[in-house]
Amino acid sequence: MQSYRPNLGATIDLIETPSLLIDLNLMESNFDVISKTYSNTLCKMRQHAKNIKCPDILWRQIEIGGTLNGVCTAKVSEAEVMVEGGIRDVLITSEIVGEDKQRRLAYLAKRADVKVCIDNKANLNSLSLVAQEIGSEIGVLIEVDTSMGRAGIRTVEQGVDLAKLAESLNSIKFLGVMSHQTVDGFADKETRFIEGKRYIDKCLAVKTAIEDNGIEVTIVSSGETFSYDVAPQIEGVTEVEGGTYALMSGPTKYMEEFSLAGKVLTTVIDVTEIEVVIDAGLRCLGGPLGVTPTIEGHDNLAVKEMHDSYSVLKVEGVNPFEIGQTLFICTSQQDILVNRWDNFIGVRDGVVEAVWDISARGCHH
Amino acid sequence: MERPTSKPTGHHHLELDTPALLVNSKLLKSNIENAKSYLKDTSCKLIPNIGTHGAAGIARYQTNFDHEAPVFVDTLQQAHSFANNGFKNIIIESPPVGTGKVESLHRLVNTAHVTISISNLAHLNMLKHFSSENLSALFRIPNKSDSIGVGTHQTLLELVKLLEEHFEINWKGLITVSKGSDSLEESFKEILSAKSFLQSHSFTSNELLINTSNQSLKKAHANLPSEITGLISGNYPFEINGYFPVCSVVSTVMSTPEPGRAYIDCGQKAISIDRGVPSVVNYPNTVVEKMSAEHGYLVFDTAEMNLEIGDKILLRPANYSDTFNLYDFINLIKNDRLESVIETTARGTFK
Repeated sequence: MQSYRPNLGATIDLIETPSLLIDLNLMESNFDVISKTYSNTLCKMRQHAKNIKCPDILWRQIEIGGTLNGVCTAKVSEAEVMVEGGIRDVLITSEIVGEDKQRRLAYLAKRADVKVCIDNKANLNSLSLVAQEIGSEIGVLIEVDTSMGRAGIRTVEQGVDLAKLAESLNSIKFLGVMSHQTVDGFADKETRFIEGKRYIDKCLAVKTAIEDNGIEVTIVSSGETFSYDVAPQIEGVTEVEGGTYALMSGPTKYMEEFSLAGKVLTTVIDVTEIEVVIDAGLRCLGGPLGVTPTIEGHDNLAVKEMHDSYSVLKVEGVNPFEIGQTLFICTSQQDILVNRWDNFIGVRDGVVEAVWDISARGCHH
Repeated sequence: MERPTSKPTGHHHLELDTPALLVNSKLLKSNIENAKSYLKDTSCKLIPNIGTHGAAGIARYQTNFDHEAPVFVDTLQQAHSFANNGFKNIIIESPPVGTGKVESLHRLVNTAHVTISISNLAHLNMLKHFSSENLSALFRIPNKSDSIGVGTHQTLLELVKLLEEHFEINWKGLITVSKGSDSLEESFKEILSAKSFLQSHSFTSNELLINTSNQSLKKAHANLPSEITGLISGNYPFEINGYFPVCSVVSTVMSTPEPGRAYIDCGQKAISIDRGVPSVVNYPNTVVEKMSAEHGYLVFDTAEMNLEIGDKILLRPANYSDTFNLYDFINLIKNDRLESVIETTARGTFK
C-alpha cells in the first residue's frame, strides 16, 4: 500500500506525484451549499460515504450542517468503518446477503443505529433469523427501483407485501423506503427538477400504499446529488443520499454550484513535439470502458492513451509543456478513483493542511 | 483497507467472503513454467513484469526464488516495495522525474541493483549526482507502436557518449516497448537498428530488452533475433489455461429483481472495467450487462437456467493488472480450496 505522507505545512510543489488532493476551500464550499440548502427544511442530507470513505471528512459535513448527523454506505464493511469513526447513524443502501455479512450487520446494529435496504422476502427472513440469534434489532428500508433497472422492488404491491412481512418479523424494525436515480448526460435545472420529481414520486407511491395498509413509514430516503435541491421541495421525502457533490467529477460539472475539489496531481515525465507523458495511469486514475479523465486548465490537452502507470496526452498546437511540470487531472468517476488510493492530501491555498487515510478503501462488501 | 471475514485454509473457494480475488496456484505455476519454456533454447531471458500483480509471493515463483534474477516494475515505489521483500535486481520503467523521486532512487540503490529506463537529456541529468555501481540506465527506443523514447540515432549516440564519459553509473543497453503482437517485428527492427548504429561508433549495447505483451511472448519464440537479451512480460502467469481462468473474482448474487436478471456484489471497485467488462466463468450463458461502482448486473435466459440469491458467480477480469491493484489480498486456490492468502504487497504504489 501507499506509505507516502507529505509534511503538514509543505507547499504543493513539494508533494510527490501522483497524489490524490482535496482542495479544502472548494470541498467546504460544496459542504456550505448543502448546509444552506437544508438549513430550514424537514428533509436533510445523508451524505454517501462510498465517495469519500473517510469518517473525518464526513464529520466535516455533519459539523458544517444540513445533515441528519448520519451517513449512508454501500456495504457492511464501510458501515463498520463509519461506526468506528464515531458516526452513530448509518444506512446501508444495498441488500446484505450471506450469513457472515448478516452477522456482521447484526452485531454492528447493537453498537449503533444501523439500517439496511431490502428488496425480497428471503433476504428479509434470513436477516430476522440472524438478528434474533444475536439479540439485536435491524432497521430495514425497502429499496424501490424507480429508473435504473438495478436492485429494488418493481411494483407497489411488492413493496406493501414486504412491509407487511417486515412488520411481522422479530428483531426487524420497518422504517421506510429508499430509491436511487440518475440522469444521463448534461442536465439543465429544469430537466433535473422534472426527472428528479418523476423518480421520487415513484418511491413516494410505495410509501403511500404502505401507509394505506396501516403501516407507519418514518423514512423516505431518495434523491442524489443531481436532485439535492429537488427532493427537499417534495413533501414526504425525509432525507437525500448525496455523495458526488463533495468532491465532484467531470460528468456532473453541469451543477455549477459545486466545484471539483478532488484531483490527482501529476508530473510531466516526458514530452515529444505533439505529446506529453504524465506519471499517472489507469491504476491510479481509472478509465472505465474508455472514459478518460480531463486536464484542468488545459483545453489543448487530451488523453490519447492510458497505460498502467503513465498516460500519453496529445497536445493541440505548439507543445509548451516541460518535463517536471505538474498538472491536475480531473476524474470521470470520483468514487472509482478514490477507492484506488490509500490517502487524501488536503490542501488549502497551496499548503498541505491534512492527510487522511481512506480507511474504508477496499473491495469486500 | 480490506476487511474480509477470514476463512481457514482448506475452505472452499466459493465460500470465501465476497467479492474476493482468487488465483489458481496450480495453473499459475504451470503458466510460469510454460512461459519459461518458450525461451529455454535461446540466450534470451524472460523478465517478469511483477508490477502487473504487485505480489511478492507470485514474483518469487516467477524468479524461482532467485532474488538476484531481474524483475521489471512500473514505478519507483513498486521497486521499493519489492526491494523490501528481498528482490535485488530491479528494472524500473518510469524515469525519476522530480526531487522527491531522485531522493527515493538514492535510497533504493543502497538496497538493490536498479536499472532505469530513460528517454532524453533531462532524464539523464537527473542521474548526475549518482555515483553507484548499483545504478544502470537503459535508453528507450521508440517504434511504430510506442512514441516514447530517444528521437533519433544521433541523439542516442550523444546521450550514450555523455553517460559513458561524464556519469558514474552504468550504461546497460536499450529497451523498447512493443504494444501488441503486430508490432513485435517492427520493434525488433528498431532496437537492432539503434544497436547497429551505436556499434558503428564503438558503443556496445550489452542488453537489448523488449517489453511486450503476453501474446507476443509466444510469437517471439518463433522469430526472436539472437541479439535480443530479454523479453519483459507481465500477464503470462494469468493466461487462460484450460477451462478455468487462473485469476478470477468470486462474487455473490444479492438480488434477482426480475426474471433473467441478477445483481451481484462485485462492481467496478472490485473488478476493473478499464479495459473491458469481465466474463462469467461458471454460468456460461450469463453475461455482465453493466457494472456500477459497487455492483454488477447479470442477464441470462430463464429458459436455460436460473440464478438465486446467494449463488456464487466467478468472474474473469478483462484485465488482470487493473484488478490486482484493487485488492490488498490474493487468495491462492488449489483443488478448489483455499491454500493460502498472500498480500498484494505493491498495491497502490503509484509514485
